[in-house]
Amino acid sequence: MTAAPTAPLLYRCYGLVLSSELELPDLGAPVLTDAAPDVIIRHGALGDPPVADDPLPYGLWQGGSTCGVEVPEVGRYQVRDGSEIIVDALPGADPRAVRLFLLGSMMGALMMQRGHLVLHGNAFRVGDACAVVVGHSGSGKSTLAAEMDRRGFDVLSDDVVPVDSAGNAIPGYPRIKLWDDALERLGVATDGLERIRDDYEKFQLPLRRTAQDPLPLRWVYILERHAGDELELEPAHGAATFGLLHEHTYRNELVSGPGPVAQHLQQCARLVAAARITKVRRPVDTMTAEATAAAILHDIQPGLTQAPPQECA
Amino acid sequence: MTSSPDVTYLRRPELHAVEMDGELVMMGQEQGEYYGLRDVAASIWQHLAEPRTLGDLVALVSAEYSVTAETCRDDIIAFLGDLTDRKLVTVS
Repeated sequence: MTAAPTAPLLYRCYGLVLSSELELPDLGAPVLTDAAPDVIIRHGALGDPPVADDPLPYGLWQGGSTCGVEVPEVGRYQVRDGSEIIVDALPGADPRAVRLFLLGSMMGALMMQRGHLVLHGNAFRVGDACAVVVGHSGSGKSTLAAEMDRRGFDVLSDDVVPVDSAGNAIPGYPRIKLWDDALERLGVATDGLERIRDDYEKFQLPLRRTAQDPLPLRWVYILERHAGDELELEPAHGAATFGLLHEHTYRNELVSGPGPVAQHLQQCARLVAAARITKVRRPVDTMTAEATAAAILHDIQPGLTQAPPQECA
Repeated sequence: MTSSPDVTYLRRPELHAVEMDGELVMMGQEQGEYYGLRDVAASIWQHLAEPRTLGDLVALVSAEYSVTAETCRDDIIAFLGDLTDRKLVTVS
């Protein structure tokens, strides 16, 4: 299947200029720039994924500098050399679902190919630096990010946080994906918000952030649940810090083979040297985004509850 | 557990280890498997960049940590057994 030829649109995401044959409204309006695109996103016919002895989960595959994914009812994707993404959508696939995997898994894989450590979490700005909150799907990361946004902190990214070799978190696109019940708890109406795909009660919430530049990552918080009554913060040390960062690396199945493993260890070591890694152990029954945000902000700086007013130039 | 004095141990060259927060961390062959080594274990791992016999390692460790060979020998045997079981070293 080939799409009608149209002039590609230019977008900015993760500090890159993307030239895309697909419309990507999630990234905001297309930009006008003379800069050469860093990444080409195009339609193309993709063959069957290679058969591996030891296949990766979730329809992912990897070989050399190429990796891809096959998503039932959506299509096939391939990303290579950190500079090109080919999309082979199934006829009739929901364009929002097509974009979901393109901007999620495939952009995450692309940033990995570009040498970044890609964390599964959200980042928010604190002064000249930033904090990242990681956790498994359903742990409340996005709700917490929305709460930080409400308190006036610039949220840099939702779900995928690339960290460059200098230890800076790179801002992504200014939207958070939230389930309807999370929006309700935050007091946000779903009218007028776009669903992430058909039949999903999950919506795109636009952010009001202003920060666009990569910021040094100083704090990593890991959202966990526990059976106790109190919210506890527990600093991590030694090899356990690596275990936590690896566990919360986005699509960490792709970290395999001697080259990627060595790169990943170096990236994690740099981050451990520059940032504090802290577990946030929350009581299952009483955890709220508000209490979690308050505890994290207090840990960053006692007395911090709202984003400080920004200085105007 | 005993082994012939001629047996040498060598860490697998493809295993990269880096220092994190005072521990040596490496990833194994299996997806997501990782190890943290510190103190004597980290030191032995560094020595295993070259083929070493049990006798070599006992001598190196006892000199480095000012302990007698008898004190450290059993621990080193156990550690080498562990490394071998986890396929982190080759034995020849």
